[in-house]
Amino acid sequence: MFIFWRVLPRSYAYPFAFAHLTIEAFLRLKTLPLTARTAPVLSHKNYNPFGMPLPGRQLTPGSYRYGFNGMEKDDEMKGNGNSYTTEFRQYDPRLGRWLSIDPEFRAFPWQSPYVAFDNNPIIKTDPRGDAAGDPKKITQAASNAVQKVKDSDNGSEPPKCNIGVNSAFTEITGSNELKGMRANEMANYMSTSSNFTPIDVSEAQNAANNGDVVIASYIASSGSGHVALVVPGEASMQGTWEGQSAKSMGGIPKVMDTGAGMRTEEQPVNYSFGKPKQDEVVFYKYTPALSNGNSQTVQETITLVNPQETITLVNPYTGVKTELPKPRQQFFSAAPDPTLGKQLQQSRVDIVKTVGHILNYFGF
Amino acid sequence: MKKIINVLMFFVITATLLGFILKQNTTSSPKIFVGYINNIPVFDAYGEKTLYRYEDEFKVLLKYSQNYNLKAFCEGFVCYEEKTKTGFNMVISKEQQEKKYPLSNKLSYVAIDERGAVYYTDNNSQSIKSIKNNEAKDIGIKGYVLNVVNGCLYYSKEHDPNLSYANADIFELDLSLEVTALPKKIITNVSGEATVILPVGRYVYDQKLINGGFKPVLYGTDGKEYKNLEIDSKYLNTTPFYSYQKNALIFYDINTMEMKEVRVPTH
Repeated sequence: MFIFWRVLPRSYAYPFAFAHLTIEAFLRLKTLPLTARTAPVLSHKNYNPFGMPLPGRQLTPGSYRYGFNGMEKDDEMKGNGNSYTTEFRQYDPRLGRWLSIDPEFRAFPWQSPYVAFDNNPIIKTDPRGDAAGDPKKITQAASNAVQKVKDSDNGSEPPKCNIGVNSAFTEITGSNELKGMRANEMANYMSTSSNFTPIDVSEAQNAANNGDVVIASYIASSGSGHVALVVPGEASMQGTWEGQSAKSMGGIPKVMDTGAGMRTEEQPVNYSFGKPKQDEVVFYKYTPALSNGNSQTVQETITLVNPQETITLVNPYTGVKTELPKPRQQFFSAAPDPTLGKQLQQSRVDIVKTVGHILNYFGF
Repeated sequence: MKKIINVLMFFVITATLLGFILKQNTTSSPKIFVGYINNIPVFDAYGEKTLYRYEDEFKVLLKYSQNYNLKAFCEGFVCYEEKTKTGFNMVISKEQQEKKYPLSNKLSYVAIDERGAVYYTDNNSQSIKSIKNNEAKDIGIKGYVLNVVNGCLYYSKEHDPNLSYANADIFELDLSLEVTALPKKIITNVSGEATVILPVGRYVYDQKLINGGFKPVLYGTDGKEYKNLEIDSKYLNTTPFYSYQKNALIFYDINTMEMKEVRVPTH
């Protein structure tokens, strides 16, 4: 560096000095932990509580397929970020309402079937559009269940997995249908009840994170079997499940377990079920609203008798018709996608904003 | 004016180059430790299908096919599982050379040694099989393969079938003695889900059921508990690895790759 200052004229030395400092800074940066580095921000978006994008507070908003609460955007409908599609329904974040009735409306008689997130968008999520879940409720219930079991222990930790699961299940759902059952009985009941749907191990953690009640069960031919409740959180990357590494499965779900010797609010499910038992473990998701009480799954079909007056639901098995009040008229302004120029004008970076103005001037 | 332009030009060029270099070197996807190359830990960024060497920072070691699922790695030898129309293939690869072995089941509980010999548990019979010099054979032992370290095969077996939770005994089989060798039980009643056989010294890391939950414990290979470890739960979402450079067991947070060292004796 000293040589440069002596040999080169000052005007040329400055850039070299700058380069020297920059390279030194870069070398120091390389020694920093990965977390201390910054990555380029490709897109960001701010929402109101119900998911409507806040004007002017987004960057390259059209570039990413998913948006609010991880739902898939449906920008062709009403412009950028104004409509979402889910497994069951379309959602309009500007209204904070679903555009069709809840497929599980019978489970929520106290509220309109168009209400989104139980009108509580900060706490609840509903990525499939069928029922708003509250993952925190599951975590709390699991914690309470473990404490309840611990309180009933007398110095030892006997198997009470059924008591823990039933306690949490009742607290979350308000249902007593697993009450008094041992683990084997619970597993048998869930395998025949239409209120429970078997799901794959790879779906269990996401389901719990969405607020669904998921129970892992194992039927023992001799003994009392074992059950554990899947709790929300990050899937474990430790160990294997049915011989497959956690990473190859995208993670192993975590469970609350009050089995023999176990009083834990959260541990990977492969710790709750030993290797030889894992291929016989079945995960059941609680799906009460899909039942008609006759242990037969009923599919509802919606018939629009007169769109101006009423909606009639027809049960294909019983033929029973249910009249629903006329839905509130909803009007939407079909805002077209902003042009590239206008999108760039929303950027916080001045040079990008200027390019946006130029493109907009030429009609792009 | 000329001076300002010079400075500005230099600034733009340097910034561009720095940005490019940083972009090439940084990686933020989750990574899992899979093995060593020349005693340097290797991680699998399974989302990127890329292996990285880790020497204070991640450097790309190799990229592999999107159709492959990496199962084991040791000194450049890689064992993948490939799904085919009829079943599965075991693929053993080193330096672009590949050998494929058809399997009827998914490949589970696999280990590969520094000479490319593969040991795996057959899903149907639970027996351990080896593939060495293109030849597959049953080694006559039932169990779940864990790893091959310093010429010994480590595997686990269920400790007590009446227990529902993970309970395993860890066995060591000296491979250099071939058929005459008898497996030796080294640790009893641990999880078998987080087992790390430390390649230096005579220690094994695993988790043990203590006071209602599984807790990390360092064992001696004589079966005695050497030390109960107090580790923050955020580091327990992954299995730790041994670092030759730091002579320590390294726990890491998969989200931030923040690492925590636990020194272990080398004797």
